[in-house]
Amino acid sequence: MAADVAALVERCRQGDDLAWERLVRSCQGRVYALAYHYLGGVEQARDLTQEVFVRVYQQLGTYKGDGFMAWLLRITRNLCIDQMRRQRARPPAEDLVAEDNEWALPDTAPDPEQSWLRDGKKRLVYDALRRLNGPSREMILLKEIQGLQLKEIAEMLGVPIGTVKSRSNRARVELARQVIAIDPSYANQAES
Amino acid sequence: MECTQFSDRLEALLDGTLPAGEQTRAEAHAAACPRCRELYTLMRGELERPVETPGGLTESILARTSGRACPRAQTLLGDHVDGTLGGGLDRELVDAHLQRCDECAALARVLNRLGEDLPVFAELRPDAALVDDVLARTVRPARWSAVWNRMQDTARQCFARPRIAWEAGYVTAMVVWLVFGASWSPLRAAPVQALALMQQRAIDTRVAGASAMTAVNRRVAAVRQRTIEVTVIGADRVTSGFFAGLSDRYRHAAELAPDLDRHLRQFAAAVLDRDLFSGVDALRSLSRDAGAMLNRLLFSPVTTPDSGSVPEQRSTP
Repeated sequence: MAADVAALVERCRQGDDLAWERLVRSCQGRVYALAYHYLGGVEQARDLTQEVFVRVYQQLGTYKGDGFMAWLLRITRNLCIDQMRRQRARPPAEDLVAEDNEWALPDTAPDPEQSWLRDGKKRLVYDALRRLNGPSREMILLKEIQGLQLKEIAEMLGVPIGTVKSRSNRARVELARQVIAIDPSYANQAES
Repeated sequence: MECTQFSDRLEALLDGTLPAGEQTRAEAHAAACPRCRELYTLMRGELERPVETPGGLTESILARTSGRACPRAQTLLGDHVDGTLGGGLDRELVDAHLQRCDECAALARVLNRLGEDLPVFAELRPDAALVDDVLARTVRPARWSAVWNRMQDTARQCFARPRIAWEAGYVTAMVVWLVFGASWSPLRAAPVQALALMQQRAIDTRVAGASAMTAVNRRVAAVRQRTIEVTVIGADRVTSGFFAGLSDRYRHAAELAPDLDRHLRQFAAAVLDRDLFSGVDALRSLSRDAGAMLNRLLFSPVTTPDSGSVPEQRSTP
């Protein structure tokens, strides 16, 4: 898969639009998932995913060829941080709550949280993940969920590798504590 | 075999590397010599008895020295679960700790399970239109328009910043001052000139408007007077002409009254004589006379003897 992505990226840098479409289709899921975990909203994650790929398309010339997925996720993380800062600076105006929900249009976008909540095991892990503080949750997102290497995370966060390693260990233990607090029998459950 | 020779061969005897003949002689010596036999059995561990220690002794010692080892073990749990701790002393120590610490053992099991469950969240499938939206913003524009898109994104990010209002106000004030307020600016006197020009134009406009309104008022008064005169004269003419014409029409129609009377008498005689054909002819002449009278009264122009018009033909019985 990594070799395929590298070949696609090289084709994209040569201006092959077909390769670009394939690259978008193969990588959009991970970008969308990371954006959703950071921002917590379907529409926000969708808009930010678009922005990420537009930014990647414009900056393909500056890509140095050392790990496209890490580069892609770094751009995603930076845009998410910028988005959250803007939201903290200027919170969006809240819509008026309709008194009669029958007139509300149904949201056609699939909500990942709803799908996770239907699966008991995923819901348990997701709830435990949401109980973590920001840095611990980010460490779990980048290392355990997205599978980035310690070196890539260190470059992304601008901290030494040893710091990333210790933070990661603490975050994992904290997540395990939260899981046990929610359901002590989690580790003993049979594989569903 | 002497006791000294047995002592020299004891280590090889315990390891099982002693040749068969030597091993037989050494075991025979151990069986014969109580001192060497005791040493042999002690080295083989047969005399070791489990020593029962008081409950909680280890915890009491740790509490008075280093404290519980769980924090240290938990810093290594991640590597232990991932298998990256290696086969050295760290792994052995963590294994030993996990055998005696239920809390850390439970954490290790959960960590092991999370390693399988967490990657599920790595990827989400967005709606199908997302790819089309991305391609619409990237591929379909020509290459040169990527620069335009980048400029748009930069401008959008610039305007999205909270301080843009202050910065815009500051830049605008600086530009206005540089253009109109600086001592070296050629447009320094422009605001004063523009104000004077606007004031002069306002005065001229007011004077021109006043004279125009005077002319309009005069014209309106003249038109009003003329309208009144025309209306009064016209009404007099129309009224007098209407009554004169009505009188003439009545007289003109009354000329047919004898014919109408005569035909009425003929119709009455035919009815009395029960003459159907004469009655029908008389009735037809009667209706013709009535129509001619009505036509003269309402529609036909008044004919005077000097107008030269042909007199209306009278109906004949």
